[in-house]
Amino acid sequence: MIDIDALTVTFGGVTPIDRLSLTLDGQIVGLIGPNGAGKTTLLNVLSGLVRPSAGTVRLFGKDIGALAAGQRLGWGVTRAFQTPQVADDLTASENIQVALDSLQVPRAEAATRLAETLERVGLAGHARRLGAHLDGFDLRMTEIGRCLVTGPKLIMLDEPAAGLAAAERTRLIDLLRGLSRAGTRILIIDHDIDLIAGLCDQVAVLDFGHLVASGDTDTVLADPKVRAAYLGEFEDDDAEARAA
Amino acid sequence: MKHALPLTLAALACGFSLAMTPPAAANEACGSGEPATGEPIKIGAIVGQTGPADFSSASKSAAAFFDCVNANGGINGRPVEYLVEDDAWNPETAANAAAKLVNDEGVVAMAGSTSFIECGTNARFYADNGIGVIAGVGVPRECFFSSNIAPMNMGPRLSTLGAAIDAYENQGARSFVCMAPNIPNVGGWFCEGLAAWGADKGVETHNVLHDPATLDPTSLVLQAMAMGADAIIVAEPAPAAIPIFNAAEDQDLREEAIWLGPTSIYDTAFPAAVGDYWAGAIKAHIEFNTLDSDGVDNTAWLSIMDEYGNASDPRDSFSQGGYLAAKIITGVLRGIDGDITRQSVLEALQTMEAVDSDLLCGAWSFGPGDRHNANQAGRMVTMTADGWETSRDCFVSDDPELADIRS
Amino acid sequence: MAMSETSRTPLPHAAPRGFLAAAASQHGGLITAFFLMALIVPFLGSYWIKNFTSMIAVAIAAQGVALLHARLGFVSLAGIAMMGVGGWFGLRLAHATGLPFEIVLVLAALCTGAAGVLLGLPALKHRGLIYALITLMFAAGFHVVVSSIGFPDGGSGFWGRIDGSAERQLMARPAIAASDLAYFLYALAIAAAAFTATHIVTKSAVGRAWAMIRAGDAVAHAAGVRIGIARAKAFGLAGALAGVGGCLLAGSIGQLDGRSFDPVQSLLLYGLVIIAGPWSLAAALIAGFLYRMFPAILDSWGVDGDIAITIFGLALIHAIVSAPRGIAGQLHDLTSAIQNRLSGVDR
Repeated sequence: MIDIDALTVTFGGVTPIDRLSLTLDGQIVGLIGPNGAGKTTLLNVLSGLVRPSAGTVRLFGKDIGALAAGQRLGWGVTRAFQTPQVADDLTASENIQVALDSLQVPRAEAATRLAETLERVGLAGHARRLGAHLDGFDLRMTEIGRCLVTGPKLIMLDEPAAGLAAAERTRLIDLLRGLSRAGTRILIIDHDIDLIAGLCDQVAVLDFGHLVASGDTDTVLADPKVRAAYLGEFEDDDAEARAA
Repeated sequence: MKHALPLTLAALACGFSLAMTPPAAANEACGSGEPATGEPIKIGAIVGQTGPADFSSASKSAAAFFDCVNANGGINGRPVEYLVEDDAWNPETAANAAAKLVNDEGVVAMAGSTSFIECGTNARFYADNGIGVIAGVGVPRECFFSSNIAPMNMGPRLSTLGAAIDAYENQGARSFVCMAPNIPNVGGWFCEGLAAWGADKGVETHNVLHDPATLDPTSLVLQAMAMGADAIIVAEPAPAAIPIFNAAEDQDLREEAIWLGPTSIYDTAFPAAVGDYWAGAIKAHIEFNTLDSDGVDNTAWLSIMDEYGNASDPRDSFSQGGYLAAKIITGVLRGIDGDITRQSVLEALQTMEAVDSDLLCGAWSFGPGDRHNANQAGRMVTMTADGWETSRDCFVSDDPELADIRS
Repeated sequence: MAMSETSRTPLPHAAPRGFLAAAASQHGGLITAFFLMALIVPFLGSYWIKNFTSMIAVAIAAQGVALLHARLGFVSLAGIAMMGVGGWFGLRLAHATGLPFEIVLVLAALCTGAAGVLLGLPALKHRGLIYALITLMFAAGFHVVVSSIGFPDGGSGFWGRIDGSAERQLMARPAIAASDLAYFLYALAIAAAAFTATHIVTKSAVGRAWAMIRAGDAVAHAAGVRIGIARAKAFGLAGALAGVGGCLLAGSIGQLDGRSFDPVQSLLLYGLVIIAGPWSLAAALIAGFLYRMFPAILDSWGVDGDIAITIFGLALIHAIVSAPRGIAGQLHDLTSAIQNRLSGVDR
């Protein structure tokens, strides 16, 4: 599903991704690594917001280098952001509808899909609430709704579980599992190893723009290199965070 | 306040002449009788007060005159209510002001209006509503090309031409430069008059037109000099003309050409502003008689200003125009038998007998035509160190464009 | 939670009581203002009727300025200048073709809309202060050109200026609105239509795309919004609104003069839109009122109309410091507070 070959991204004298080659093919794939590992940059490359300096990126076998950011939605690739990006002065429903507008989905079909999506992300009751008045979880769900309303092949999520309460986290996981069962591929970036371990069938670990390991989740997470370089340290952080 | 001296001298001189004439001189011009008490007759004026320059002087002298009328019998016992609106040099404001005066206030006529833009904006409105307008001073072409507007003055086109005619006849000038602001129906129109006259006489004429917003006096002067003409006419308002003459002084160009101007530079403060260097070297054409002349109307104007006007009101040629406009409309109103309505006033204006005044060179009447330019003759003055002195009495500015009015 | 009951609505964003009812609840104050003007202004006399007509024309142009600011985050300091462009097209087309006023109005709106798109081109590269300065320079340039060339007045040639001894022509008013009062009501109806159109557009896919752009270019891309085209539509609409306003102004006076369109006026209009609160549809009307009526009212009280500028300056400081949603926002808060108090609903 994702084939990356010798990808390099350079801007302003920084090289967040350096000759990265990576293949991932799973229903739900995870991308992990410490801050500054290049995860979000890679996601930006996949969604077209950042142009690679060198190398090729293929999604579902197609070289997407020439595809502008605004065209990727139409090609079935959608994303959400680390901080939910929702227009304050549009309602939750309108924030989702924008994606249908872009694809010029006929009005009647759009209405049906919108209603289904709102139901699915649990926003039917808050559909007419303005973005400015939505709470954190609803913002997250609005964004995910915008991703899935167009029926995409791939949804890319950047730390979707950050800041969520336990119940909300469970609802998110249920939603993602449901999507996956329905055939949508999902790429998740997260620090939350429990989430990645529980959801993903494949995972890649990045560090300073390089690949540390990739493959089946169980294998990768068991890799001593990964544990030593990254997970141990992270689990400490996580424990501290929980204690606090 | 050096330039206030000539005014003071003029006022003193008038004081002398007043002392020698009967004390009723002021009142004689505006009537006789008891203070008016009846239903007011409304007369309007629109002036460009706030904006690039203050053009309200004519309405101030007209207001003083109407106060004098009201104190001395009014219009057959009825007082004049004089309503003045500021158009702020903005056509939209001018149109609104005209609607207010004509539709809301119901004025029967306008007198003493002086504006850069009002004639063009409201001429049609006055015609449609049958309102007669005696403008105190008309500047742009539109004031002279409307059926219902008749200005008291000659207009800057005739004044510019008058200056050229004098230099042609008395100083042998055979080529001219016309320097003017490039405003449609203003600067270009002045200079075209010179060119049309020049074509008849075989005189060479050149134009130096400039954007009024960006005045670069030195380059204008050098541009004009480069044309090698005998005479340069600075057809500018005084505030723009002063830096031009200063720039010419910097280049010591006084003797290189004959320097002329229209009425707009005839200002008591002007000689002090340009300095002694120019004494005797600048001639101006004036549309009304000199400010210190001793004729009946000029004397009455000054004494009415002293008695009914404010000390701060200017005593300038615009003020003379406003005085005349008020005086003439008063005479016309007094002559109307029956109801005083806008129709009867317009009819009376169009059929009025010509009026003589020492402020004018010829008799003035509104006239019945599609356009009006009754005042066609003026005088020349020469600048001295501290004022102006008359150098030529009345002569006609023979503009080919006036053929339709003369015939 | 009562969520599950409402979740059965087939299209949750659709107004359940119909579009007009929704607009009425959202813009009740604005609609009331229009009706009040239609009822009261006819009795105020010719001077105020003409002033209100000018105000309506300015308000339509101000709607474009508010749109660019609130929907796209662009500062246009050329609002009045674009109105002048609209007036120029209106006068030129009316004198050249003699077509009915309505057709001239539509053509002028289209031409000015195209001009608006052109003025929006620098926005592809520049934002913020730089773009604001570009529009201010345009306003200054327009003023210089139109002051020296003048507005069309029935002459021939490209510029349509008369010369020689021809009489300056006035722009003909619509056949059904020749008198000042009829023309005011006509302008009011056009303004109502223009405001409604703006409302519809901002509630449509185009408006949603603008909101996404405002939320950020990245998310707009991610949502598949074609940013350049969406922006061009906003600049086009703002231009068309200015065109309608300028054309109505030209029809009201019959001719225009460069002096009304100096760049300070455009700057002032922008400031007033900010004071009024550009996020509300009503802001344009408030800005038009402040721009045109406030000085006239001061003037009628015998206070120098220029003092309005000083008052506006203070109001702008107030708007920026303590009332970021402007007068419209404050009015809206007030009316919602009253409505809530009356209906006992806590929002």
